[in-house]
Amino acid sequence: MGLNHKLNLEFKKENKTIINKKEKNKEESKIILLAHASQGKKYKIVNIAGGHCLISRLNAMGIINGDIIKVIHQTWGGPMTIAVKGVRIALGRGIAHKIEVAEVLEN
Amino acid sequence: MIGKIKNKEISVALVGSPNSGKTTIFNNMTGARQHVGNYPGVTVEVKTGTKKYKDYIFDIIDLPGTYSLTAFSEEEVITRNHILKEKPEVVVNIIDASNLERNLYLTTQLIEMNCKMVLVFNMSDLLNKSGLKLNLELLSQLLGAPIILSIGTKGVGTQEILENIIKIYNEEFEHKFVFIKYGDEVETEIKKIQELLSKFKFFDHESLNKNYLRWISVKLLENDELILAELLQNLSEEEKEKINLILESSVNHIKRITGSYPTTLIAEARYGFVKGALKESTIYHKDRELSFSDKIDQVILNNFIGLPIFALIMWGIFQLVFKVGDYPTQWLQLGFNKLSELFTILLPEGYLKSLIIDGIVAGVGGVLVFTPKIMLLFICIAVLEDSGYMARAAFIMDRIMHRIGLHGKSFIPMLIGFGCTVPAYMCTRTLENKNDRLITMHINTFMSCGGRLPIYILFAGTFFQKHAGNIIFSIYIIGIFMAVLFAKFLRVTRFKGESEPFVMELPIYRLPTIRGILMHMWERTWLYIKKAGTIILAVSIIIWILFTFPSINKGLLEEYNAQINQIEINYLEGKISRSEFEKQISTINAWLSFKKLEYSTAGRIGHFIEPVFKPLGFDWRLALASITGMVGKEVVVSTLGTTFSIGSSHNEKEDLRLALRNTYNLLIGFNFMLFCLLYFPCIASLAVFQKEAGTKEMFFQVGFTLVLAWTVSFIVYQIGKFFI
Ligand SMILES: Nc1nc2c(ncn2[C@@H]2O[C@H](COP(=O)(O)OP(=O)(O)O)[C@@H](O)[C@H]2O)c(=O)[nH]1
Ligand SMILES: [Mg+2]
Repeated sequence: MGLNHKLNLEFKKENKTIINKKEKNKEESKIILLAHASQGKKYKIVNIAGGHCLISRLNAMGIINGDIIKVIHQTWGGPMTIAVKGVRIALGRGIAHKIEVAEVLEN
Repeated sequence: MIGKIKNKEISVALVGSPNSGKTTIFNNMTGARQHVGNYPGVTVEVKTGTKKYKDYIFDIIDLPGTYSLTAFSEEEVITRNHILKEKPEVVVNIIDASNLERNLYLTTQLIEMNCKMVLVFNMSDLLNKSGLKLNLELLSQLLGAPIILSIGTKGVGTQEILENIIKIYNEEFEHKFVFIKYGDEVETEIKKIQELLSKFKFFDHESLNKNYLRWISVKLLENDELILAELLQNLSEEEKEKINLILESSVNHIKRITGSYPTTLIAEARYGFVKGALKESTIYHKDRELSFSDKIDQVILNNFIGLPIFALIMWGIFQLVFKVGDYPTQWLQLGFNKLSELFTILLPEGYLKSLIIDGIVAGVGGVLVFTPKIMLLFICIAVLEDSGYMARAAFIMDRIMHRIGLHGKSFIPMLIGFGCTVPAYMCTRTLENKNDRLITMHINTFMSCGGRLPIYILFAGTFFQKHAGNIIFSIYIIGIFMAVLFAKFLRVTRFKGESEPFVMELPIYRLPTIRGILMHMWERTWLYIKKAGTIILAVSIIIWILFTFPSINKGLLEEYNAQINQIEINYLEGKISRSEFEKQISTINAWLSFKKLEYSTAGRIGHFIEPVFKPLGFDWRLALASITGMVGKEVVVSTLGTTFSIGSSHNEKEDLRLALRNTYNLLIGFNFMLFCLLYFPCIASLAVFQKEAGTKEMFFQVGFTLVLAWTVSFIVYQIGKFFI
């Protein structure tokens, strides 16, 4: 049980830092919809405003609250592509309007 | 057991995300010939194979690629149900090692299900390049399963996988029990639900372990409707009420405390577990960017040139298929002609000869001559899929497809529909949403298939001469317009609801392998050939019977023989020249086939249904051709040849054109093309439709396309009459 216990602890720590960062970021940059994010910038996912089905699917593709994503390609009115967990994912406009993100200011 | 067999059988299931290399590994393990693709969701059908190794027989199944094991798509349900119901003895989880974090998410769900597992880190060539160094020993312990490095494309690691399956089967792999925790709030509620479940009678008699109950509890918290429905079936009314109550209160409670749905918390915990395990076992890590693929994407997905590039590629494919593909088609045609001639010489006069030459060779050959074009089309599509471009095409087309209420992925089956509707229907399986899939299938008939082209070439060539090309193009455009119109119409009438949200992984670009492309092409082409060999063969025979019986009476035949004799005598006596003689023979032969047709069941049917087609300006010949066209649109042209009793001569094409020009006008010619465009493609396509979407939808397709074709042709003819 030792290793697992350690793992779960690790996870809790991780979770806490996510929450902490979330609060910090709120002060630093305002929350926008992913649809309005600009190409080449990094964002943190703050909230996914959708039903169980959508959230579950996005989670499975690696898109989850607290994750840092990068907007690889932004189009006008069409779908967009983002990088998350080292994968490129295409997202339709509809979904991009349901994902709330905050810009990650790199120093 | 039969005495001779002492080999132990092990049932093995391959599970993994799309594009992780499952099919490649499956082929390596079984040696089976099977498709390897690069487009998310190519493996929707489950494929099985066996392998003998040492004293064991492996029954291996290649399950559909999934990102998770919830119940939101067909693939997920198929995969999950297989694990739950079939209980494979060993699950082999194929993992794209170049993308561990995302791929291990699925692994956590397999751990939750308490699967006996072998983890295969495939694409380990890419892992090495990526600059990530892992302590696999440690990671293996953390995940509770052996880890094997493999390179699917080079066959590296196959034997080790087999060895480890045996090891797991014999429970020789030592590890600690792995347990994923979801955080205090969720855990408390899981315990509550689990406790309630354990009190239910249904779980009483079955000696279930605690883990299974925990798994169900987690699924219920995740709002898994399938699991809930299945559970409710086995509960009494009172129990149902209890479970619904507790679920509602648990979800609300978690939501109130944490501000998130349990679904999100559980997913976060799984990723947390993966992150933790990877962090623990990472020895060395360097950040990596997929820059090469990204650079290509900057061009291919570009706002300005993305669409033109796509259009250019499509144009190139059509040029290749229709221009270059013409040569082998002609060679095949020549071959079939020679075959007919051979049979003419070899076989004795009679019904058998007629059946083989006019029925089978003409019918099946008429379909098979299209094979080279179909093959070329499938090669192009396989290249697009295996290189990774297909996913980009869906991306580029999503904006346009979205306008008509469809998914970017719908574009691909529509494109294939220009070649042949049968593979196009099968390709709609890549669409996850049922409504999207059904709409795409129903409108696919308007994407004018290759089989209709000979009709257009004949009629446009006859009535529009110089403008033939433009007229054919306009028919294609009308088809696309109809598709758009009916996509909208079906969406607001029969298949209500949002279209599938567009989320799709863009795989990195890969150089397609020739072996992969040929395998892919062949699998689909074979379906087409099989169609020619089975359904078309059967229908060709039926058509031949309709056209042959009842046969003409003796009197007519005697009259024919008498006339032939007379002509021969005239020629021998020198009254007519050689060319005059040939012309007269041809005329009398044509007269006989016309009489034969009039007597035959087909001819009678044509006359019988003529009134239905009259308002469209069609006579009995066109009516009959429309009916035989149901077999395959390719048959329309040959039926017309027969009804005009065009004797087989060197310029039979010209003769047919002349006959058409003398009988019909430009309006009727155009109208007939329109009619052929609009009604369902062929019986083979309907058979596939039925298999893919069910009998009800197939009949809807038949009814709605027939009514539409008739109505549109009616309007066009009735209005057009006043102008021509
Ligand atoms: N570089 C590399 N490519 C691989 C490896 N294994 C498979 N592939 C490629 O990955 C793509 C997807 O493989 P496939 O077996 O169709 O994946 P599936 O969707 O999981 O069945 C194909 O183009 C394969 O050639 C590997 O070990 N290394
Ligand atoms: Mg596959």
